Amino acid sequence: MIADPGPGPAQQLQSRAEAEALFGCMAELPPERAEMVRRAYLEGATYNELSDATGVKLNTVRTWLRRSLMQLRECLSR
Amino acid sequence: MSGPEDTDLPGGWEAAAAEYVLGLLPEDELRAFESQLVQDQALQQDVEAWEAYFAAFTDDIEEVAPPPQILRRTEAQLFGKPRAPLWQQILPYFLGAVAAAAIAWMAMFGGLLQSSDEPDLWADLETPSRGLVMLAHYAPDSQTFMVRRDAGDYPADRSFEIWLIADPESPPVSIGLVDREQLTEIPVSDEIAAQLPGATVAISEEPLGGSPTGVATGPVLSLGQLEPREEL
Repeated sequence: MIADPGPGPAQQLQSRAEAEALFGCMAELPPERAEMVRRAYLEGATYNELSDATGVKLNTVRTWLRRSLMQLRECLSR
Repeated sequence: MSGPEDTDLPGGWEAAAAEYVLGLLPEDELRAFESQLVQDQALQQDVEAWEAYFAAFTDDIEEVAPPPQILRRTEAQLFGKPRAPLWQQILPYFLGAVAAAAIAWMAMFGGLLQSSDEPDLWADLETPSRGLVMLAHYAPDSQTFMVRRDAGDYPADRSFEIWLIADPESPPVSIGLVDREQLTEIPVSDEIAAQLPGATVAISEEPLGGSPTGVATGPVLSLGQLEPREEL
């Protein structure tokens, strides 16, 4: 067995499409909320850290972000 | 369904699926979500879809390591709490190494390893006419010159003084006075210690408190040569 052959051409094409869809839909979000999603994924930021960074109350940050995630989901499923 | 929909948070399980993939679910909700996940096929598809989409964030980055929230979630499950930073993990080993080095250093320079290098020196100092029997002993380990008085009286109004005669051409150098107790212990300087092997030691009788001039003034009671011995 060869370890980790990496994604094949078909998978790469699909990844490409997913990336375009994600970045297109992220662009529809308010910039500061898109930034929160990005930081949560790439930097492992928690709600606490996002709240501290923005100065917005934790519950408010969470409400905003969940609405944004639903908006994102709706955009991606189009 | 119960769980997130019981709260006033928007999005229900579907939003929770995205939070799950982002590593944003609080600890208590994480468990509830995962028990829902195993029995909810639509939720599983949601999680898979979010993972596929969010993976695009890292497409531009040549990176094999998992994103931090995955790592944290995995470690929390495996170890129960975040791991200590690396320096805290290796600190005990580091301190042990420092202690070992310190002990080795003290053994090298503290004299523990010197004992076999320089032998102890001994000299019999006897005065048959006075019934005096004394034994001089030099211990290089502690750089101490000792005189043990085994027999004979110590005159109350006189002092016995110990002299080092390094060679016949050199004037005697005072090492100190014999104590009125049985055992005399005198720490010696490096300069005197270096001259002791093979040197002659002498005991003279001096006025109380020792020779006032720095050279022997009274009668020499005994002479002896300092030499190593096989046994005491």
